[in-house]
Amino acid sequence: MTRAEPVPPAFVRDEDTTAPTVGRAAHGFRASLDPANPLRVPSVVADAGQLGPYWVAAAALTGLSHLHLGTTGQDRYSFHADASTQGVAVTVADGLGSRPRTAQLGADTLARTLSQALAATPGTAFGSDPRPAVAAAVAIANERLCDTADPRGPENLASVFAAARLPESGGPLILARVGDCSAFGLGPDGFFPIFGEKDGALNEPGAYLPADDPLTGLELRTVPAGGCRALVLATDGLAEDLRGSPAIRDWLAARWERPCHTMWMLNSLRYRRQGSHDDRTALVVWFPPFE
Amino acid sequence: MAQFAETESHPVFPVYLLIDVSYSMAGAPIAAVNASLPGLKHVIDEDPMVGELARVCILSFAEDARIELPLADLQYAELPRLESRGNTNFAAAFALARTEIEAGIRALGTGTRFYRPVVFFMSDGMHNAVEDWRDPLRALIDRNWPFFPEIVAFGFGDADAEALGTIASRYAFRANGEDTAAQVQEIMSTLVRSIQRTSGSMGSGGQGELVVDVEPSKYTPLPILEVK
Repeated sequence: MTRAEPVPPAFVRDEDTTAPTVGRAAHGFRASLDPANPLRVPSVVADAGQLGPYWVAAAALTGLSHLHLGTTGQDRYSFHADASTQGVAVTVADGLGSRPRTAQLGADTLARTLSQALAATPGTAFGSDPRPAVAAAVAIANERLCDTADPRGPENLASVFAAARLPESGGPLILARVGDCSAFGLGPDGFFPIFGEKDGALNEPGAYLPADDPLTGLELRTVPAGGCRALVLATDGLAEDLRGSPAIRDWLAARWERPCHTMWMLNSLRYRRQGSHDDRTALVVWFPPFE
Repeated sequence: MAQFAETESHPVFPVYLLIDVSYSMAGAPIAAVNASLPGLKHVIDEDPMVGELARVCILSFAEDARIELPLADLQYAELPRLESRGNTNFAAAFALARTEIEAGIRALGTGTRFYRPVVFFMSDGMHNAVEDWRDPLRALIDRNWPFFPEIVAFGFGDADAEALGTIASRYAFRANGEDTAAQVQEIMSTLVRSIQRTSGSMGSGGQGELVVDVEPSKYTPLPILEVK
């Protein structure tokens, strides 16, 4: 006897939103839960609050594609303040889509370990050349991924990240990434990109962790103190929307003009853009003094 | 370096169908191609992920190559009706594919991001024109060309396994069976499912993968060969 195909409700309620729709938004997306994957992550995760001298708001939303196909989201974010060094670090990570059951575990491990390692590094270690200190933190995170990975398929945890060690004592903001997560500054004139993006096809294989040499794909940037009002770390789904859509940029610049709370953060990411089906994760840090 | 687009654009998955319409395709095979095209349009209408991402271009080749449908959103396009003609010239097919891939993607507008184009090549025969087809193929798959596609090759009838394996960059298959119309029908169904699954894969991660959804009993996979 075969079981009948389930029929979804004709109408499913949700809160109204003023978030924009850009392009032709097709109807017919389903939302299916991932019942057979005990490793799935919640489809909505959000936080907001004081983190040391900074205000942080973050949200990770499972994308339309994963919901439609009934697979788990693969983005994670993390923040950490170290009691001994007083260092604060934040990370967003994205498990690679080709590993649909386990990549979120890699993203989670990577985000948490890297935030901890960056925050635990004394501020003096970043000095005039932060690369060795950042590289050491990335190596720790890579090692943790290698330890966690199944030796028969270490790529099952394949993940990419963007991370920041937040500024202290007038020092610069230090940013690092491996892969296609991104970072943007938000100033009076709106967003500006911190990492460049290559032209060409979107789905080009890039660097990821775990890797034999985790520093091969490591990119590093610094932003001088006072260089932006807020920092946005974004996984590629959101970063592509920021780069490709002026309407989404305007919307999010207005939404994140001032520090916000959890629900505001979630609603900020509820826009609809044609072809934007990937998970969306943003971690926004507002720097003092606050208006 | 791509930074911020100044006009609205959205990511596109460009799909190219490169279909042999030489005389050997006359009758039931070409009728099966024409009968299958509405199925592709139906998927684009019905599956929101495919509908928002995929753009399709249909090219035919015989002794020359022709644009049957420029890269388009099939929701708004009228489907062409393919007709058989002439001998088989792979060189013309690959040269036109290269021109149309670049033209189609550039026509999407400055700043439009695209996923790696995919060419689905289908033939029932062998190249029988004078010019060599390997040079145009090399130009098409040149990794220094930013628009280079992945090529999936399907063959049936008199198609040559070595040629199909050389043309394909990722996957090559020979359809099993003797009924050419049934083979074409199966290839077209595979192609539609592959576009659907690949669109889903691309939507769920920046490193989305080409997924070719073949029914194993209906195909013989062929080895991928370097262009000599």
